[in-house]
Amino acid sequence: MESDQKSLTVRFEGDSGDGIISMGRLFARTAARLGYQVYTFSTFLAVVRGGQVTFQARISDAPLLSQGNEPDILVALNRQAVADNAPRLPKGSLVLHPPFGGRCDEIPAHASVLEVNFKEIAESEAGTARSKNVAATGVLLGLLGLDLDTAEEAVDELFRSKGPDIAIANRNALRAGYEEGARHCAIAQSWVFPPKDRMARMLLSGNEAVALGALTAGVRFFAGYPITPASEIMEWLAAQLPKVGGLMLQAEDEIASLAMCIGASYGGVKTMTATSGPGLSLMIELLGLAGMAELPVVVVDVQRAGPSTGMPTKEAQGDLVLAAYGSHGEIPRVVIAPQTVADCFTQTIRAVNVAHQFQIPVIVLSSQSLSHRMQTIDPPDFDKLEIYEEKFWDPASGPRPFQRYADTEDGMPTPRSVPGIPEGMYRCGGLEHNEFGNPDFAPVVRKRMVARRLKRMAAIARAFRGTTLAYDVGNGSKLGLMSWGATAPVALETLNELEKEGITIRALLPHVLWPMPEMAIRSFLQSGIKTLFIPELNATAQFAEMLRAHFTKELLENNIEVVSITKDDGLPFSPAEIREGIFQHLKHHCGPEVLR
Amino acid sequence: MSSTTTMPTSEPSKPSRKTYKGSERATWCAGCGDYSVLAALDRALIAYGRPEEEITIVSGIGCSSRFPFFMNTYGFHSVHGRALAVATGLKLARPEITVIATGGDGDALAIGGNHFFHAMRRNVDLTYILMDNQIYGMTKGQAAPTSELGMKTKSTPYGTFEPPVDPVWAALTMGATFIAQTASHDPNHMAEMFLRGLEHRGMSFINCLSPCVTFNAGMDREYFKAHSRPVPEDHDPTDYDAALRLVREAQREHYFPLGIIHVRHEPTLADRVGEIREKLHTAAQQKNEIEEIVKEFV
Repeated sequence: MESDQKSLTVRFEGDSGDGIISMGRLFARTAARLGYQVYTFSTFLAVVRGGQVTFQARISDAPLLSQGNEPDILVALNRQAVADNAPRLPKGSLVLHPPFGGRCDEIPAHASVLEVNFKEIAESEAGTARSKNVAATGVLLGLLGLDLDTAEEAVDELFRSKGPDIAIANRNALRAGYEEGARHCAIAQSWVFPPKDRMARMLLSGNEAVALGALTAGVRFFAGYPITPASEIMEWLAAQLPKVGGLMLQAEDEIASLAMCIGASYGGVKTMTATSGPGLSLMIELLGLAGMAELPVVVVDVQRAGPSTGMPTKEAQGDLVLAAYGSHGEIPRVVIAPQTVADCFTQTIRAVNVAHQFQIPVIVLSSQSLSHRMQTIDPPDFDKLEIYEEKFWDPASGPRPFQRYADTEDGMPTPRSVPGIPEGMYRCGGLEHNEFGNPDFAPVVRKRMVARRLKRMAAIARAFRGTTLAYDVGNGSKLGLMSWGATAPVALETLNELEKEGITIRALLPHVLWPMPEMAIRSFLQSGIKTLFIPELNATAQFAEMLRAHFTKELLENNIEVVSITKDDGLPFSPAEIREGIFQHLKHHCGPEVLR
Repeated sequence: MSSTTTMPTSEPSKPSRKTYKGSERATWCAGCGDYSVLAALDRALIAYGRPEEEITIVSGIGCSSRFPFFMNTYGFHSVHGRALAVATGLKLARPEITVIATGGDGDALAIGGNHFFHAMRRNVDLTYILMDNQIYGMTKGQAAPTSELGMKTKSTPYGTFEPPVDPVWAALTMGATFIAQTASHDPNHMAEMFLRGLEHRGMSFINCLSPCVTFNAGMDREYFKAHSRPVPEDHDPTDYDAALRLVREAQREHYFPLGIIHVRHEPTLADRVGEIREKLHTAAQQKNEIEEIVKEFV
């Protein structure tokens, strides 16, 4: 957060039948249209109905790094929402709720309360109590004075598919709610601030951004199998791919998904599949085939809390080791973890580019909170995006005889041929093979081919130098922090807050996790830091362990203590939790002078 | 989807006996039925007449999955059980390529059973040749899903406990649009069935009885010969119910009906996708299309 940045965090909570997600979307979409930066987070149970649903939307006049801490405004549609949140409500916060037939005594005195009968508004204006969520959103928008016309447009879009009557009813509910809210606007005055500009921003989820990135990068075949929290990627592409001559096929399982992608990739078409941890586990054999046959393919793993079925709708970063090391035998691969919704777009494009440039499988490690969160991004400039187009072997000018797996000094792959190209026929597959692709188990051939595949990793590392693999922020501190994926921006927000208090922590937040960005990490470890905090959402500190394994020398030589801040409760970190982790350590291990 | 691929512009020369013959020599056991399957496929391809670079043979793992190495076409020797999934992806991405899948009964119906089921119902335009020897040959003699009930193998010392799968019945009930059965002791019949399968638009499934002389010596050429009968001349393969009756009768009377069991013409998966694409009729300007698509998020 920039120092003069203003932000407002609203939490919508209620029963799963209350339309909580629609409320949050309506509020978020309206704010994004008006030029605010928006960042949302939602959590719900794996069952389709029943249980408590939360949607948090944070809006700001500058880019946001996290969903924020406790809410400034709580919109509670059921009694439990009040009870759950009351103990942690910050000073000056506001609770907006319908009458519950009695006072909510647990709301602390430092919070204010506005009781509005949303149901009554909905019934009289929309003719149905079902619109109470839209009425409540109207009250909120009226309190904040956000533009009503823009909100009405958003209502139309949200409910258009349900028929014109329903859209009109909801617009009426919104307007009546808005008027009611406007009457009480004094109570919310401290939360009113204008956006920096009026540019309408794109508001999309991490999953949508991944899918849009794939489409933009040229992916034209996608095979997938439904799994929470990744399904939206295939659903979105199912609608869009035929428009650009492509196809999304729902496969019979994750094994078939990747096998189909590998078949399409052999045909020369850019392909991708998306899944979650259990699906990635099923795909590991096929990932080995892609590595052995040197076929480009992108696998998105939207991590969820495992092991096994675990908590399918909950956040975790527990698949890093599987993504980086999971294989029988050894294959070249790249693992990239987006940190923000904007990253989901750009890093997916990078993943597709890298897969084809190096003829390898690439894994994109997203996670549940990132996948379902909506965030504003500036519309991309399509002319400036770099899209890698593979050049296939050309029978007229290519080297002869055609060697699909020709050995090269620098480890870079040579152009491959694809079916249809005359004289480029070759056999590919999972068997160890010679340069022509024919099975060959001779020790000398085996040695050459293993070296060939692993040289690819060195070639990738070389090619990555000079490109942005990580954010490197701050300087001149004995304290350092590394983090990855969805946790990284939350950590960054924590550090920005600490900076204001005079505590400087240098951070390295890599996008590329495998191969580990060696140059960037080495220079970071040699920058004078003595304590290295690594927050991540798993119980065994997977990234920290990988760092220890690969940078033992640098950690020892520079006398750096690695302090893991792990969390495995199914929820993302809040900035306050990372701060708490840092302070816990500093309190126990150093005097207050370290904080200076 | 194949805008980046150059297709040959010159007139292809007429295929000869050398056209599809691979440089690798087949390495099956002497007397293996797969040798004559390979020769028959070669003949069928010559008659079919497509240039070798426009053909891809995809396989899984097993003796009969070695096919791609013995043919001078594009080839993909994938992993155990996944041939049909790989072939489906390739065919949908590159519909102009002729895609043939080969494999054994274990590859198709045990580890690959899930993919078999869905490949049959999807009606992707593939030709699938299953070499059925009722045993696991490459791993040296374990029971297959097609092994007869009670058959003693290395993994079933007391005989199998499970009744076998009938591949033809499976394909028929799962929705394949061309189903034939042939046997390696009749090369002419095999070549004809393969050619008919190649010419059929849609999922062509050909079960090919091909004995394993090493690990299932009891079911040799003579056994298959003695236990097969040609499909009756009055059988109408376009009549689905008649096909079901024919296969049920063969099961009861314990013989293999050889010939075309069933054929029907239905839109392929690619046809159905093509219809949708045409409705959306936007494929021409891909880049502008994406910019159009992006607007839904603003």
